[in-house]
Amino acid sequence: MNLFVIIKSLLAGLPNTVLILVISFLLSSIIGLLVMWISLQDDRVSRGVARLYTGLSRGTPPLLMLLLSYYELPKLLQFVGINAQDWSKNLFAIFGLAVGFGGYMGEVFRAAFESVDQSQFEAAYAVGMQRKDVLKEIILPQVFQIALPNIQNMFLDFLKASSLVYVIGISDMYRNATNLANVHQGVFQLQIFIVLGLIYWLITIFFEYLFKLYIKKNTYI
Amino acid sequence: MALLQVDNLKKSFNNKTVLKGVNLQIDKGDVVAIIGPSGSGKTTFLKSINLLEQPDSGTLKLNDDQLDFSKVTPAEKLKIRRKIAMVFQNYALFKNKTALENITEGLIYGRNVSKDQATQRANKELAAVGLLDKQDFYPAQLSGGQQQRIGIARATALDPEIILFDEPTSALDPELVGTVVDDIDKLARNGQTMIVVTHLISFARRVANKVIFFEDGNVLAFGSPEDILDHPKNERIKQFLSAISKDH
Repeated sequence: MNLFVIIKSLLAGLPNTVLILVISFLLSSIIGLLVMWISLQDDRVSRGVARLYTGLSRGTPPLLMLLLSYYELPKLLQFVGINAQDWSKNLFAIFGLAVGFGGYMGEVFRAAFESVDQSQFEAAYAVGMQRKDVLKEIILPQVFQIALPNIQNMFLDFLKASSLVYVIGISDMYRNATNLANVHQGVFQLQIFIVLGLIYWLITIFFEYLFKLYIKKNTYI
Repeated sequence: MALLQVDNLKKSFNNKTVLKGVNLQIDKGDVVAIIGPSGSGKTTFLKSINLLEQPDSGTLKLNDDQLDFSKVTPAEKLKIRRKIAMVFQNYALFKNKTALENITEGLIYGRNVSKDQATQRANKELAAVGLLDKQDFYPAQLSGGQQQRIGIARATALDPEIILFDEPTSALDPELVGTVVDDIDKLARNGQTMIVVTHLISFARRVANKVIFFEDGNVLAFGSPEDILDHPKNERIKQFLSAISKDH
């Protein structure tokens, strides 16, 4: 079996991999910001809810999260009158990964928020800014900047975790590699998986490059 | 009528009383220097005036606005803060904003000035402190002295009734202290009302027309620089001044 066939077969799964990666990452970031927000509230109940979610999210294996999302979430939705039987598998994969990693994202943002210099708040309030403007103009941009190296880390974690979506039968690159190896009774398994590894590696380098460009353009500290 | 009047201001942190009922009355154009040992509550008092610290009790009157510290609403806080500006010990410029944006930010979001007008005003203020060519620099790219002068420009651009200075020179290189002191002196001569927490006695003597000596959460003495600094009657103040002069 030649290299071209292997690459072609694996790359057929690339759109699914990238789609799931990017969307679940964005969704997870939103969940993370929300969890940060809730965990910074003054009342104990909100903080408790944030802690509970963070604990569950960080304590559950991503594989289990995907299985729960695919097999159990539709039942839950059915219960409240939503028929999710025909929904795309990609949706459940995205949801499972986003919720599964949301706890980590929340911690990334919360830690960044807490390391913003207290004087930045004081200076903003002192010029007469309202709380919402203080957050939007001064604090959140700094939170984002501080969190960026960890966000990049998380993104690469997502890339690799996205290979787990094979368990719910999505034809991503990993599943295609497994199928191809099985079709040939495992004879070419090593070659196939080396190619797969190289493709993941190239994707990593590509996204690292994008992050680097962004950081270079937007650094002020 | 006094411009600012603070009565019986009390504040404690975790059962430790930091301010024990402070009174202060200042008139328009006053430059008040607050001196005293570390931990005597000077900075807490200063930050209470614009409610960066929330006092436990007491009242504040600024022109016709009155408020009771024990029951301040967010709207009252905003109203007071929009008449007062502050310059910080560590400059506290917005790290994610350029020198110019540091000045326009408060005008746009704190005073509802249009972006164009804010930019014009900011340029004027930057020119006044001789830093117009640094307008697109971020704070991290500027020296401490430059940052503090932008901090002062940020405050004056707001046309505040009062500017609060929290040890404006104590984080600066000794070499740069002079330029910042000159800027503040210029403001004083233009009639800007200011309250300055400082350790620089020479600065207090040069710029201030009233001096407050803080000790252990109380005002120990309040008077002219001559009375307090040159002819102190109180033994504690004498001791403090001689200890400080030995350091310099």
